[in-house]
Amino acid sequence: MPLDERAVVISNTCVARDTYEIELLAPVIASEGKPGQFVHAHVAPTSAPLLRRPFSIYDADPLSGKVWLLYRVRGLGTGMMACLRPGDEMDMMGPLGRGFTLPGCEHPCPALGASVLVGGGVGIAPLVYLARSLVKAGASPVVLYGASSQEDLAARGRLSDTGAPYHAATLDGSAGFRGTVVDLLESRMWSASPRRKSPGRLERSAAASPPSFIYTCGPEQMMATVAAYAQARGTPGEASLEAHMACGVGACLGCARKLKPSAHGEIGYAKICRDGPVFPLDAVEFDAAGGEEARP
Amino acid sequence: MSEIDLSVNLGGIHLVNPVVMASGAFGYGSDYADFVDMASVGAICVKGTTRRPRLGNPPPRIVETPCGMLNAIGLENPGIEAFLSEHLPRLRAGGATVIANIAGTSVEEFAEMAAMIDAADGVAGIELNISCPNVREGGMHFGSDPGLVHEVVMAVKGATSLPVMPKLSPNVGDIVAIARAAEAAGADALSMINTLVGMAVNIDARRPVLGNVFGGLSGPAIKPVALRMIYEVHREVRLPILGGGGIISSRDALEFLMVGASAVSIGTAAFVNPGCTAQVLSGIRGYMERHELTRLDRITGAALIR
Ligand SMILES: Cc1cc2nc3c(=O)[nH]c(=O)nc-3n(C[C@H](O)[C@H](O)[C@H](O)COP(=O)(O)OP(=O)(O)OC[C@H]3O[C@@H](n4cnc5c(N)ncnc54)[C@H](O)[C@@H]3O)c2cc1C
Ligand SMILES: Cc1cc2nc3c(=O)[nH]c(=O)nc-3n(C[C@H](O)[C@H](O)[C@H](O)COP(=O)(O)O)c2cc1C
Ligand code: FES
Repeated sequence: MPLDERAVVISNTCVARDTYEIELLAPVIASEGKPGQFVHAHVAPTSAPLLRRPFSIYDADPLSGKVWLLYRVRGLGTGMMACLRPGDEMDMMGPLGRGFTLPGCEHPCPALGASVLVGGGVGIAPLVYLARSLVKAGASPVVLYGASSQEDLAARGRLSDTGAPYHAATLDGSAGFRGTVVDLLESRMWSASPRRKSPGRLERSAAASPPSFIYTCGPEQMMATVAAYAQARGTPGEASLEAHMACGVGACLGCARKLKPSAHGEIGYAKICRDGPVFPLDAVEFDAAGGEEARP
Repeated sequence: MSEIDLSVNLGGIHLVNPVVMASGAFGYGSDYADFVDMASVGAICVKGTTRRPRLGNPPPRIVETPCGMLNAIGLENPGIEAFLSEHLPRLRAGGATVIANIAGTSVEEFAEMAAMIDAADGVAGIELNISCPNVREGGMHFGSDPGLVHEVVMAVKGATSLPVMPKLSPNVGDIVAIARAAEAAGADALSMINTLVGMAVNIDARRPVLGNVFGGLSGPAIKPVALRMIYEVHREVRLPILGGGGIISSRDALEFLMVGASAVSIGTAAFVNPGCTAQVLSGIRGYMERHELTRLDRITGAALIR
């Protein structure tokens, strides 16, 4: 059952350009939160900013009761969050929303095979906890992690700790593959080989069979391309989406998102907070031109 | 000192306490089931409901503003039949006092919906949404013309024996004229205020942020406007007022009571803090204890300069 938990800040560190990792003590969210679910954080007890801010669960440890969030400073709310110090408190509603489909939830789950997790920028956040959970469930996921430059690869440390191999792609080529993370996905220059855990040398890999399942989170444009890639190959997958939220629980109807007409021919708006944030890749109408809800 | 009585008679709607969930803040109750005990609030004004299901406006639908938010939901709702058959029974089972909020596209449609609610069991009163800024047909257009307000209230009163409470729009020149028209037509109470029309611009895309261009401003930013309007209306009109607009604390709520509200509604603040209705209520109780007041009507209108 989701709740309003008073989380205590343990640490709040700048881990990459404009990007912070905050470690919080929030035992209920830590034990109940699933990969892909989010918390709705009240970053300051003031009326500016007024609304809560949604953040994906970046990592969680039920045993120690700790939760981690990875956030990029974009405006007032995240700017104030960056000022939180150890011992400060932050109200968090959560865990909220529907997370990713994990092996065991669905039988047979295609993600048990060679699933690929494609993350861009802070969109990597929900994929880290997902990778950890997939490995724990006995699956062999590969993470493809894209950013503009080496200085933006905020999640490298935590990613290598999940046990899943990952490969980085940077636009300027300063680390890993040069190009977008989707170029990397298409290049097949990645594999699930557990030996290659760091974004080191890449080579065309025979082991890189087409993914059986794709999970993605990142800028709208990136997810649109991933969706097109999956559709062309008939690969199932899921994407975590973003929208401005007020309530975070489905009451205000503010976070509407158009889904493709369903099998019954109905067209409607899904609520990202309650029906998502994770949706099947083939259900979403992506805006390839960008869309303003993009996570950089 | 005798017991504190927090109950309110809002024009025939009996409220166990004066703190009400504003329409659109609580959906039809189920989304907040984990956070709020429905029986603990004075009443729940349910999401604005129309005769037929409505899809609502294209996204983006909300944007934050200084100390407030703009919304352009566009009355997305499943229609009155689904409200009565699916949602009302659940709300009642949860112990809620339900105020139906209806939005018609014509006077006849308002009356038709009122009759349907009358025939169903378990609604305590009807709030007439003649003030939604986000729909093309109907909506605010009804609430900005005293003649139309009179017509709608008369028609609804003729269709139901339930208490009828028009919800007034602040987007008018003379709010007192609108309130007077509602009173003359037999309204039992007034709900004040709905959102103020506003907009926001996305400077990167060089276009309005909201899919609907304009939206309704709510939250602390509108409190001074709401207080002023309730003050003006309470001086001139005898109807009890459900007052709201930017309430986030019991201090805010007390200000509304003191300018003439008999009960208060909370919308936006509930998104931020689902437990705020309970906090507001206990703050009001604390104030009454400190000032040795046993009844709310000692507070209502107390700040009026006569
Ligand atoms: C389910 C979900 C999970 C998210 N997870 C993460 C995450 O793990 N890490 C991360 O850095 N960001 C995440 N975001 C985005 C994050 O919520 C916004 O970046 C943040 O709210 C910006 O707040 P701000 O006050 O700094 O920005 P503002 O100054 O308010 O605005 C800057 C920009 O932030 C975005 N934004 C503002 N308010 C919201 C809101 N309520 N919801 C969504 N976007 C908003 C808008 O695009 C806006 O243009 C997530 C969003 C959603 C919906
Ligand atoms: C997201 C949202 C949806 C709303 N929907 C309705 C509605 O359906 N019917 C209605 O009469 N008022 C609606 N309102 C207006 C509120 O009930 C309330 O009058 C207004 O928000 C001012 O109060 P507040 O500042 O406490 O939110 C809505 C407000 C918001 C923020
Ligand atoms: S944020 Fe309120 S419905 Fe999703």
